[in-house]
Amino acid sequence: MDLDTVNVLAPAIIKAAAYLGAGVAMGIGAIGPGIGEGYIGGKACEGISRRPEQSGLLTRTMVLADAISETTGVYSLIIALILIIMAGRI
Amino acid sequence: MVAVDPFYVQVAAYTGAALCMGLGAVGAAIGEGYTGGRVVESINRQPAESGILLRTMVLGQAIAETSGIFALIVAIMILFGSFSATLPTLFALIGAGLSTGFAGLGTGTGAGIVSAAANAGIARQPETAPKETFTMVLGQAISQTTGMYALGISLILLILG
Repeated sequence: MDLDTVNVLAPAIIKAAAYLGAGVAMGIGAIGPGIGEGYIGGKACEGISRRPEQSGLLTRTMVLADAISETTGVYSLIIALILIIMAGRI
Repeated sequence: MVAVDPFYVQVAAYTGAALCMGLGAVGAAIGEGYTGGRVVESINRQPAESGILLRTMVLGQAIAETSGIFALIVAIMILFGSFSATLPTLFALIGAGLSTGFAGLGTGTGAGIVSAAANAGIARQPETAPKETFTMVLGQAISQTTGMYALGISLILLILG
């Protein structure tokens, strides 16, 4: 491949890889928080049926734990957005 | 950007839409099936509460279904949208499908676990049903947020493509 072809092809390939990477990063990154937060919510519902008078405390704790479990999903979102923005600047 | 034959855009669109809907359907179906199974167990234990259990089951399954509906929407947008015939667009289409598809795996399963536990809880203590339903809807909504992020990334990729 001569240098001119490489100069034309390289930016397009980088952009294509960034778009594919953004989709894969956000998609696979969303699996974990989705299942994890569901597990937390399920345990909170079980807890309310055992001790209904503590439902406020259980719901508050559930939301806090969900927020912590969510952080990895937010990291995925940030990386996907960075990939898309960087691809747009090529 | 490098122009390609429109034929390849079609190939990428079909691949992306298939991956999106195929993966997205798995999570929602597992979650709803798990909920349904636990509700059948619960009704077996408390036949008198079958009305409220059925209502809560349908509500929980409808929320768990959203990830499947997101996947359907993105797949239809990929199939019927008009996209420029350039190399990055091909991979943007596949990436958009993978994003919502994989996300549906997690959020559908997670939302199903919540509604299954809520129904088992209602069967154990039927008088807590309002509290259980509130916590179930809140928990399911939070477990869907990553699915919303993935939907947003898919839409951005489709718009840029």
